[in-house]
Amino acid sequence: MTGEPVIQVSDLCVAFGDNVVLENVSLDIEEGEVLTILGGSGSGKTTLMRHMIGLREPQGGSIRVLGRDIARGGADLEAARRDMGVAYQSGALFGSLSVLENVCLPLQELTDLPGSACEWIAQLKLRSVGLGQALYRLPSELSGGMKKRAAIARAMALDPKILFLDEPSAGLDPITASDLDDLILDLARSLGMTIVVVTHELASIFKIADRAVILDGARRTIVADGPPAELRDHSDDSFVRRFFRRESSNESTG
Amino acid sequence: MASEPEALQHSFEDGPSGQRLALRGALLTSSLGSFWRTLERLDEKSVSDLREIDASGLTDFDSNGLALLLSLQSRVRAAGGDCPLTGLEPEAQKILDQLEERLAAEDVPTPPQKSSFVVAVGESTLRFFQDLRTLIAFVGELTLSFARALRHPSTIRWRDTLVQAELVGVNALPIIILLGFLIGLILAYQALIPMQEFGAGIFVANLVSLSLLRELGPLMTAVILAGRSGSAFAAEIGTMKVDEELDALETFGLDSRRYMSLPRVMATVFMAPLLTIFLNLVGLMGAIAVMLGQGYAVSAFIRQVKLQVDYVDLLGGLFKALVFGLLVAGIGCLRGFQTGSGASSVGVSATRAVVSGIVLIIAADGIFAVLYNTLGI
Repeated sequence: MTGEPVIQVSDLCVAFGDNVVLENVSLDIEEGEVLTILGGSGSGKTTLMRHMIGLREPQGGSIRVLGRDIARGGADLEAARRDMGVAYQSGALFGSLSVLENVCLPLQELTDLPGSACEWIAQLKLRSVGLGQALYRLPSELSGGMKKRAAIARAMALDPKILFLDEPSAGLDPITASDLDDLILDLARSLGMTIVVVTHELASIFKIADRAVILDGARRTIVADGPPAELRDHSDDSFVRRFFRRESSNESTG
Repeated sequence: MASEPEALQHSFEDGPSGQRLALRGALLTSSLGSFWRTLERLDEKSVSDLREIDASGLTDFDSNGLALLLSLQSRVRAAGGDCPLTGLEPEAQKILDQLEERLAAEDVPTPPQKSSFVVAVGESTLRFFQDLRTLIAFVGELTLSFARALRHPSTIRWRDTLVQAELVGVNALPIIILLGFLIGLILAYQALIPMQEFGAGIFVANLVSLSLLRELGPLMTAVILAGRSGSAFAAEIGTMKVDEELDALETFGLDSRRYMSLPRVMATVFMAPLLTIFLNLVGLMGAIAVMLGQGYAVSAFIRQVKLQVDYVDLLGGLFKALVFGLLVAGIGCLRGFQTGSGASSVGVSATRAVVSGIVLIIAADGIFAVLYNTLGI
């Protein structure tokens, strides 16, 4: 690798109509890093992530993923997406397909693997998120947490270079959430996957994150950037201090 | 940013104790297809002869690549052999160990078996009768709450009922008028051709008025109601069920079935006869338009109609429309309540509402035909 950041966000500006959400946000994410995006509700965490995936065109600034400029869509975005896996907050599983078929889908559509190989791989991915017993169930028969884990298995199906997880452990029981954290760490450590996690769970942040960035909805930008423990112990910013003291107190300011 | 990965190459080499599979290049998801197919084509014997997988030549790998190696290993083991992986990077070995651990940890359920044809037929027959039973029970339940509501009019949610009456009735008027006019026109036109040959052209008025008032008017109105309103009820109630709004109603202590279906069914029951009257009327106008074009007088047409049909025909038709309205609205609401979860289930419910609605209308029409015949109406 050349040492160039995997994701490079420069001077990103985002507005919904007159409502400016992000202003001059700049962020470099290095290869193999586990980065968490934190912030109160409505501070633009998910919006920032949606721009990194290229789902929205920003009002200003540039976003480069794996050396390709994706902010304006087109072929570069399509090429970059081959190396991204995304697990959405609600799961976004296809309701008419079984869990196994959901994970098989990207393998079947985007690789030349035979059907049996797709199933073998999908089954391994689902076992790794603890859904080995639910392979043939429909999404409608799963609980919220199971849907989330199935979505993560689907996001990992193609072994992407970058994995985006939108609130992966929200609504999960502590044991499953902790297993999920272990899984994220494994992916990053042994496969060198770059992982971007939007989350609220303080426990999981300290366990998995190499680095955390905190968005403040009032200032519309990143107000802190660094290893989470360092931010907690040494930040001078009152917002950041409050955030780590009692994360839920941000709801009113976010 | 990364240079193109080296293509995956493999070779089988004969060793003293059996075959050795040597891998070189990158073992990545994007380049696995042809190699996996090659492995799938190996017969039992060559699989069981495999003694070693040499991975020392691998330059790159991902977990899907390792999943392939694992699949090959488990095949060799199943065939009674054993083939250790050698030369694997420690990182890769670690992932592989984890994958293996997961494989050993639990057995996955077997895929659900597709049932045989006979079982499938049996099951769907059973489902059909269960569905019929639910339907009859629901219509009964509905009629009871309808009767109770009529005894205590203050319990009826009039505002909702009026809104539904507007949606079901007033908003359906344009399509009722268009369809009615065209049916009258087509019927008269088609009947005129053979009847004029016998000099009986004026009796087209008898034919059109009788078939419209007794049969086609209520039937066509009910079909339109099934397509417009039955499906809308199913979709609306279905969406509410998916979004747990019905559960919210229940937790208020309200009977969600009664709360949702009564205004809709009442509105439809009242609107169906009204719409039928409109359809009958414009249908006759359509027929008059054809007759005028052929030189018959409007007064002659009206006289023939008066001679042919009386109030019993009209009211018989309207009563049918009322029952059809009850069935269409009832089935629409029922399908809504039966909605499963997920986005597609709402669509399924709407479709089922229309299909069962039309089937019920036709079945009820058959019963009415026999009934009216016996009663001499």
